[in-house]
Amino acid sequence: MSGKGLVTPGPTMKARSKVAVEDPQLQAALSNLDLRLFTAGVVQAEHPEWKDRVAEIRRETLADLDGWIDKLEAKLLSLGVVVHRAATPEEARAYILGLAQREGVRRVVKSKSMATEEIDLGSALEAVGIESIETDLGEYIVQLADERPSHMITPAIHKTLGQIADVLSKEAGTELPVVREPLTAWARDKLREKFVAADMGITGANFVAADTGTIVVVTNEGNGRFCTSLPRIHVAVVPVEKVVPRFEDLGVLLPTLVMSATGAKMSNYLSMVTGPRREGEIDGPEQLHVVLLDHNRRVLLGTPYEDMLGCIRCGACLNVCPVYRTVGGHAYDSSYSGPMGKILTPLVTGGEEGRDLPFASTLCGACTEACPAEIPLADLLVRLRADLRTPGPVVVPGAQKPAPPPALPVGPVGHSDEHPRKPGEGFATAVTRITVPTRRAPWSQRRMGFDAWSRLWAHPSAYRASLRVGRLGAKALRPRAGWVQRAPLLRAWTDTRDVLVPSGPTFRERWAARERGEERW
Amino acid sequence: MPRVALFATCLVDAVSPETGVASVRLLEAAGCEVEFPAAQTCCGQPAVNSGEPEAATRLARHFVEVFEPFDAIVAPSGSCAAMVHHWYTRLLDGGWRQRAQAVADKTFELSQYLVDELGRPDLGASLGGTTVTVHDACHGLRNLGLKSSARTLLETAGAEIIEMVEPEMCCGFGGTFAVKYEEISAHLADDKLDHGAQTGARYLTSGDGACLMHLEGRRRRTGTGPECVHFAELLAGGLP
Amino acid sequence: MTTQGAVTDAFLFSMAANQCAVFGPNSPAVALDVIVERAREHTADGTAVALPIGDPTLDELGVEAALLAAGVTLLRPDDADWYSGLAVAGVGITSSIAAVAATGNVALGSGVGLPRATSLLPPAHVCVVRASQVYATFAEAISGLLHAGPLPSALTWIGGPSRTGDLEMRTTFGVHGPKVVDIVVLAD
Ligand code: SF4
Repeated sequence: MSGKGLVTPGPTMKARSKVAVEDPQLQAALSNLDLRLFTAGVVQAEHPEWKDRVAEIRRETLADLDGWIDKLEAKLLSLGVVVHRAATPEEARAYILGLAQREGVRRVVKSKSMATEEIDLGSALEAVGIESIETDLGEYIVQLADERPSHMITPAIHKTLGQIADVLSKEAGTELPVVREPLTAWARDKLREKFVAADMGITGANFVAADTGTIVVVTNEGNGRFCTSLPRIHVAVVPVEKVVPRFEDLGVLLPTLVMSATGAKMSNYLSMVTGPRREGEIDGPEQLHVVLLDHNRRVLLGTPYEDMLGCIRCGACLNVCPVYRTVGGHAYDSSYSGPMGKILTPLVTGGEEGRDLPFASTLCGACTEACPAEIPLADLLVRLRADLRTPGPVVVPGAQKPAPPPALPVGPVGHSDEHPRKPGEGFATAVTRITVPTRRAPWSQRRMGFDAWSRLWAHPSAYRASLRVGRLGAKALRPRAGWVQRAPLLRAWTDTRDVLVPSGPTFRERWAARERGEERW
Repeated sequence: MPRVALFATCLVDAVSPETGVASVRLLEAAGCEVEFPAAQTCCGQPAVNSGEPEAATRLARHFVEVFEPFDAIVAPSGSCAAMVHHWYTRLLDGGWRQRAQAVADKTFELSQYLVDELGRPDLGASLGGTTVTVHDACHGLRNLGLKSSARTLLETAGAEIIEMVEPEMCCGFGGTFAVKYEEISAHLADDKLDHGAQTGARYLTSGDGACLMHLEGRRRRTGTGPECVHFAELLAGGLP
Repeated sequence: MTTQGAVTDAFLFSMAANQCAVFGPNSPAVALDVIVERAREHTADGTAVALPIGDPTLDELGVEAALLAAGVTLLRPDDADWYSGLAVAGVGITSSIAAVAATGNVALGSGVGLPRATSLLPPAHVCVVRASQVYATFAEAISGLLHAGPLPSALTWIGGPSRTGDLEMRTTFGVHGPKVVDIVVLAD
């Protein structure tokens, strides 16, 4: 999931956050936006009934995800779509690269997609000499700057207009003015050349309807229309949870997605693609391929993390998040940032990436409140903090025992009417990445500390003694009315704030004094 | 006369006993008979939020045992009351879960108890001429639905409330987050204190001592923002 | 019908709010005049008008004949230079198969003679909408389309001129698609 240059470097979220907070340009870009006022609670206020319906549809889908995937696959095949089930990003990349090479593809145009970020497809294509152009203006800017998107709806949100003009001027080879319209016009012409010359369009999908096989791509700019209309091959990379049972479900899902994402009533463009170009039509892709990506998602079904698969990628949780709003998206060093990214990243990478992310939260719950899919994000963050104690893949309480790897070879072949999928084929390698808990969490220093602390404080006398010891220790700091400016052991606090330490009598001592009549309140 | 068990919280017990004293005075002004179960310690929130549910469970059991005999349990902290409401039933199993639910059903945050449960917004306190801005501490707001009760108490006492920008935005405390990510934490405190300062109010108040300790600690360092005081102390200061 | 009238008015209002030029509801004769007038304006610099073949609404109105009578250059999907011509055409004309008042958007279906690119490549798009096909809500339109027959291979929803919020989150128009969208509502 990595590979892209970052604006905010550093090995840990902690280190990157420090850089982000101290970066005046980034802080200027972030403070330009009133993200929260922009989207928070619009759906909840204007259409409270949508949220319940969305959550209901997502739960219904997840309750039988494999069943809906099978239905979708059958429908897609009947439309002449080639379907490939990819258990891992490697498999998805191998399939797409194989296809591109077989078809002699030289240039690819991409429409903004979290899934292709997740599998780092752009770099993989470039590595084999296929030009891959991001066509969403924000993504294009980010690509030219060799960075990664910092917000899933507005990828270049971390950049000021001046920085954007610099990036585009460099590509143009001439000084472009720091004015929106001419910058946009330049990018329009530049990208138009790329669209016309591209052999393959790659998109994600916001939803895919199982009953009609319709792939939905939401954009404002129209780049999604180009990618799905002009190149002769269209590949949609679709994480499995994007399936929705019925086309009619889009009636509520799309307005909710857009309103939660941008506060608008509807996005400017929606492309609903049902199969490749039909007989007699003169445009549209001749070949349509759907890559269904699992990447440790199906193994979450039936676990407390199942809810996370209900995410519709609206970004509302990012917009309301105090941490996101302070550090921006790059501090997460992951395709997915903000509250949903802190949960999704360690889960889909099988615990290989983003293990520190769940701790970078105040647990304020603004995300949970904002989420139109009713995902209990703050609760999941708390759970993950516990489940990540065990090294390696995330230990998910209640996960199914991994299925044995299939005997059938899973190669870079799509399934179509000529090559039907054999039972059990596809997705199989994914389930081996998450282990079933067989052992308890190891005894880290943190765990030992909290264990000892809880044992002590479960005994009132030990608790009282510890308060007295604390007060004795604090005495050395010479508190003034309880406040201390510097405390060697509390530097993480006192570097930025004064600290209140135990000094005078505890509350219980004062209560006792009052009981004895020594004190009047 | 309602019999109320005060859960002072470990933070109030150790470092801000004034908040506890003020809570008792307010409850008594509302006509309650207040008890302080001496066996009480901590609700266990630091452990659950640190990913140590086993340790939290141990303290949750202790809390349930200490407080189940009482009719009502009142805490001057939305966060600790929310811990009991939100997490105890998720941490405990079987019979313990039922006992936890029963305890949660009678556990209240202070302003919630006075205003919503007792219906006693008027405690006879007088805060005429005092200007206050209110920070909605997160767990009380989002897990207990607290929004108006502290404001009602303050307004009934005659205080003038001047709302800040985004009163529902987190102050950046977040338990261990405050020391793990101190840069973000301090940044968020500055935002909150700036918003408080913009109101021109004399005090910034809230129902959570931990948020206030964090904000006041930052204010003492930077010199920006209104004085941060628990609403119970403000109100008790206005009692005759 | 008054309810449909209110829905149509709401639709025109939404589209205008989305920065479209809106016309109507008009009788067929007036609608045709508007279409020709808009087409001429968008091609005043001598560029061509891209017009689909076999679009039921446009054929019923007699758009082709009227445009030819007005002396504009037509580009048709069966022209050998359709694509190269489209890249420099001044306007594309289409009809819609559904429209929504609440969300302010129109749905276009692809088909034989109805290429996707007609409403995509030229800098202007004139879209003819039948008042009877305007739905109050997006959900109603989705159901209506589903039950009207098989879905087209490309069902494209358009709200207005192409736009982006990527530059410091202020709306800027004309990124990839048309910079101008005219909506002509036909009372039927
Ligand atoms: S978790 Fe919820 S709020 Fe966040 S992006 Fe997903 S659906 Fe939107």
